[in-house]
Amino acid sequence: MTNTLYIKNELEQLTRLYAFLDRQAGVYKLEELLSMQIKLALEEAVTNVILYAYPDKKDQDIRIDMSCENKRLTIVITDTGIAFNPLERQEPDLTLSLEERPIGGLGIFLVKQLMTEVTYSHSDGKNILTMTKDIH
Amino acid sequence: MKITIENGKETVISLSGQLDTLTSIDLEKEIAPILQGEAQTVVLDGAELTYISSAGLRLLLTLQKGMKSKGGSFRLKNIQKEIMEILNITGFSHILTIE
Repeated sequence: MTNTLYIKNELEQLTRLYAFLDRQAGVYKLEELLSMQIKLALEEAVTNVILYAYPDKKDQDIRIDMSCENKRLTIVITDTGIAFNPLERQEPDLTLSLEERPIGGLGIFLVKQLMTEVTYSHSDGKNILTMTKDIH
Repeated sequence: MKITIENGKETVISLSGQLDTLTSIDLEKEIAPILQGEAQTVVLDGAELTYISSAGLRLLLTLQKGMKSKGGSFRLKNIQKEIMEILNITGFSHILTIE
């Protein structure tokens, strides 16, 4: 079964995302660490969409689908904003010193690190980011 | 999230709860006066911090860079293992002082 949440492209809507995730964590009986990692990946990916997918446009939809099959959790984030593959973004250089380290640029890196698999596609005018996590 | 600040030459910021994209906005407002104030050392007590997102990590970097540029220091203490893992993944454990 897939559970779906629609939010608008405003940061305040993240509270609805957190509540959705808390409910799902209960349904799937996710242990605390796993739940925290999934929340982090989801928050980073959705924040990215909120901040960048719809420049200067308000009241736009972002769809989040969550399902679980064979102990693999699948989260799909869909928006109809500007086509953008976040996975192509250059990875941050973790070896840089404090002075050289840019402030920011870590969100998508965290998504990739925390999830088992992350893929992006663009079809029908939609950005579709699919993240999976093995939860056994 | 609850933010408690004890101001002084050594300023202690105690965070309780989740430092996410939204609560980071609240913390950011508290940080600016600390960086401009009399504090020579800033300590972030993470004993009750249960979550951190990239927005929170960005603030740790702001504190570290800000304190260093005014000749002071910044360190973290009582960081829980879930948070420590995120600091390790992002390489922050190498650039921050963690007790």
